[in-house]
Amino acid sequence: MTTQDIQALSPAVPTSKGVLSRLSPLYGLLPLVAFLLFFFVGPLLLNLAESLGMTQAGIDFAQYRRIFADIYYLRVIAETIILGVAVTVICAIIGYPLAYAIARSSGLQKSLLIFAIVIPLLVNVVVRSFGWMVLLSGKGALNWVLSSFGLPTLSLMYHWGGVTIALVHVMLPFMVLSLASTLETLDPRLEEAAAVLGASRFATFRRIVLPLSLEGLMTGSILVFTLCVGSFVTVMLLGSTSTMVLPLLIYQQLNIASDWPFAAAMGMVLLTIVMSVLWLQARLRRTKWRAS
Amino acid sequence: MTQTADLRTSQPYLSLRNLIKTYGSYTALRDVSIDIKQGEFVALLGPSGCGKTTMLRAIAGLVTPNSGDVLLAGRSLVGVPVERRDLGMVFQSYALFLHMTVAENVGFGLQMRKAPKTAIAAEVDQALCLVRMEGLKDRYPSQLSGGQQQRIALARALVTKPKVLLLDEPLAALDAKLREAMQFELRQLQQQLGITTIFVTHDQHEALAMADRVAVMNSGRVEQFDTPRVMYDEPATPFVAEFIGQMNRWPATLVDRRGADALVRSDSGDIVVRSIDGKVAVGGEVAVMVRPEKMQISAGSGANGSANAVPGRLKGVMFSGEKTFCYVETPLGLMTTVMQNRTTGADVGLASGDEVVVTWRAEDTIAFPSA
Amino acid sequence: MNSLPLWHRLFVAAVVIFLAAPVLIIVGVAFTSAEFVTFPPRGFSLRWFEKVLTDAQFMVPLWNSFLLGVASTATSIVLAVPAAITLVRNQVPMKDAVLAFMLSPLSLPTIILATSLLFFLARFGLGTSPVGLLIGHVIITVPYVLRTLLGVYAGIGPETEEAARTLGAGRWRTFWHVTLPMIRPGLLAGGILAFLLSFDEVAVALLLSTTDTTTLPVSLLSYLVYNYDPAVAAISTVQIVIVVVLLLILERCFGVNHLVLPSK
Repeated sequence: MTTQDIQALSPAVPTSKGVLSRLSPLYGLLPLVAFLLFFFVGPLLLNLAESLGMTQAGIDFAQYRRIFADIYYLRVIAETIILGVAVTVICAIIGYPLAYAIARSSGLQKSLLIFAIVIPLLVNVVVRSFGWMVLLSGKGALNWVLSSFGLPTLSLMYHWGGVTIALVHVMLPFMVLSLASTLETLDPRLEEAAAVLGASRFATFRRIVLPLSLEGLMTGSILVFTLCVGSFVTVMLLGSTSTMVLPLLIYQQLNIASDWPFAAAMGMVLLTIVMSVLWLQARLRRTKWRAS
Repeated sequence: MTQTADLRTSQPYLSLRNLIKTYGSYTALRDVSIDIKQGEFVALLGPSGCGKTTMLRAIAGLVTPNSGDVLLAGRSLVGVPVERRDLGMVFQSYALFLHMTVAENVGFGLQMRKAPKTAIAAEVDQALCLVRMEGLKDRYPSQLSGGQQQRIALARALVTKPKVLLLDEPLAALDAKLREAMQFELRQLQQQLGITTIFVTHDQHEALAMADRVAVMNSGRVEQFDTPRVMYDEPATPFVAEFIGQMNRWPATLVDRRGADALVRSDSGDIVVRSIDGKVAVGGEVAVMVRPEKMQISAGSGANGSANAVPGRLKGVMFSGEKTFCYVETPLGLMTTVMQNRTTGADVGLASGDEVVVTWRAEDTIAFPSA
Repeated sequence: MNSLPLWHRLFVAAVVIFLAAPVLIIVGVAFTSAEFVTFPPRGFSLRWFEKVLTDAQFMVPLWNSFLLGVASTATSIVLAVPAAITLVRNQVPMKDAVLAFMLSPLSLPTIILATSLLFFLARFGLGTSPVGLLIGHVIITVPYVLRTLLGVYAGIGPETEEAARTLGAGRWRTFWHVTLPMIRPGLLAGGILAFLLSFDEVAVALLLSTTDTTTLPVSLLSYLVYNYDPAVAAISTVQIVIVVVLLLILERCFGVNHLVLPSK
């Protein structure tokens, strides 16, 4: 070894030691990162490989061709998205007044309202769907109430109607909590200031409260939409063969047809839908920052 | 024997040698070196961001300096972890353990040293007695007032009989009256225990009142390390001069040196200056400084025999209880003078708009080379 | 709330009724003495509770769900505590990205997680093993525990831990005597949340469990496909009671308001 070599090597020693000592406090991250890389990222990559037939030989898009060439699957994808949008919009409309009430109440009243939201949130989706079955079925509670008032009965079970009602029930707490978190931080004096300046209740809402709570509305909507397009228990119990959604189709392909590559490909389609919505959210947020 | 005793007192107990600490591109400590004697009470004084807290934390071991050394009783502390440095520290927020009682808080350090339970109980009682908090052993910190929490934090730091006591703005969170009482009490306690103490503060009055010596810091450097009196009367740098107390300041040119004194020329005639940096050449630009309380103000327009005088017009008089401030517009700029109100009902006898003359002695005049 | 117009208060009441309706109706049906779910419910009896509480068909899954919930919670805490402490106290390069990665399972539909994990674990012969079930649930619960811990820990300054260090406690003893007690509210809240999520989870359990390891939600789901009787209402009521009790504990120790809403 020449002296030049030694000179070239010697500075490398403190540098590598520096990197190590800089990394050592980060050991705490290691278990969780390793766990997620192995059991979360790994399976997702395998899922992608499976959908592309890479587990056999080469890459082929056969599974994706199957999905996008069949009008039935395209309709399922479209209806999954439409259902997600519908549930999100309904949740936003009926959730907003409730969230506002929570943000503007205090003490016991506030605690009770939050409990009213959190308890259904924590009751199992299967149990809640069963509750809606009891409420909405042909001889269920709703029709009993309707007929005892001499009103015509409804058949909501096994239709999009019943599925939508039950899904709104499942998703509403997420929307309300997102909205309430934002409205909570809104200074009530802003509204008082607007009122003093002569704005009506509606004008105050439209010009002051709504614009300032858009962030919460967006967070809640994204959350509800992504959860909604991924949920299948409610559809499984309250729907029928005419109300098919993507996650339920994945489950059936896997469990009944045992068509793993096809299930994997549909999983990737669902993942793409969710990711594009999240991407949209990130983009909207970035433009907002740039503007301010 | 006397020789060794002398050696011990003259030898530094805690030494900081060439400490440098950077955070990215920001330098918190630029080559700081000071020596602290055993039993000394040292205040680290400076504006926020001057590096005083970083210096304290480097001594404690909570900050690892990029280079330099910390020596305690001649032994280097570099590489010694915080918990084995045997120092006591009181934090600005007190940092009491909220989930432990007062007794458990105070006993924590002894528990960590694996002291027997009975010994811990006795030591805790003694420490609480020291800070006059005997009755509160079973309370939780959240049940105590700010002043009580402060005393508990102090007891907790003292109970292990640390080699050095580090105090990071311990009185900053207290209200003004309580703070003054605690300043005196803390100083009494420190002298009673003879514990080497380093006290970080941004309050110059607190530093001057409590410390044996004050280190004034500015942007990561120690500007001056001296007793409060020397610090006040003979500031080593313009920063120290203006940071501690108030200063009237104006520009001038060095005309002549006469032994220890110097003659400078300003827009309002010549001024005799007591001390000036030897490096300033004749013809060099200087900044002249005089403290407001060293200046006299009298009616009239001419110089009245004082070495230094400047005529002016009184702009305003402000009575503030024990003192009266006068603001005088002079050719050298706005001068502030301060008078002690020693007798009741006495007035300065001057009104705004009066022609006055401001005079001061040569020995109260200092000058620094202009930056 | 009291300052809101009447229509607004009525609307809030209607939404609260809508939210409570399916939960209340199940509790109501569970106490029927009738053989079937009928309206109006007939009679009052505890016979359906007696049936489900002595029926292995329900009790084994309930026990499985409980065990899985406890194991998922414990594993999540073990993984999340060091990560949370590191993220708060250390200079982590690309901190935002690291955190986003750790929380990313939150945005993934559980059915995709379940299918992917099934493909993955099947390669190791763990397709429907209890370990696979645990892994799946931990992926779902760990982000919640991490988020709750971060919320609590980030609000605590480093001085208290530094004070412990200056008093002679090493890193480990500082963690044990000071850090851990300080983050206890976060541990409890995150732990209960994790348990509830695991206890309620369907997709992963549906694909990765066997008849021996099946969980309560999954057995309820398969039971409902073929049956429609008050037994389901009774076991659901049991599940609701467990959830409400845990929620009340959470409220006592932590305050549900603080958990779900930002503190002012």
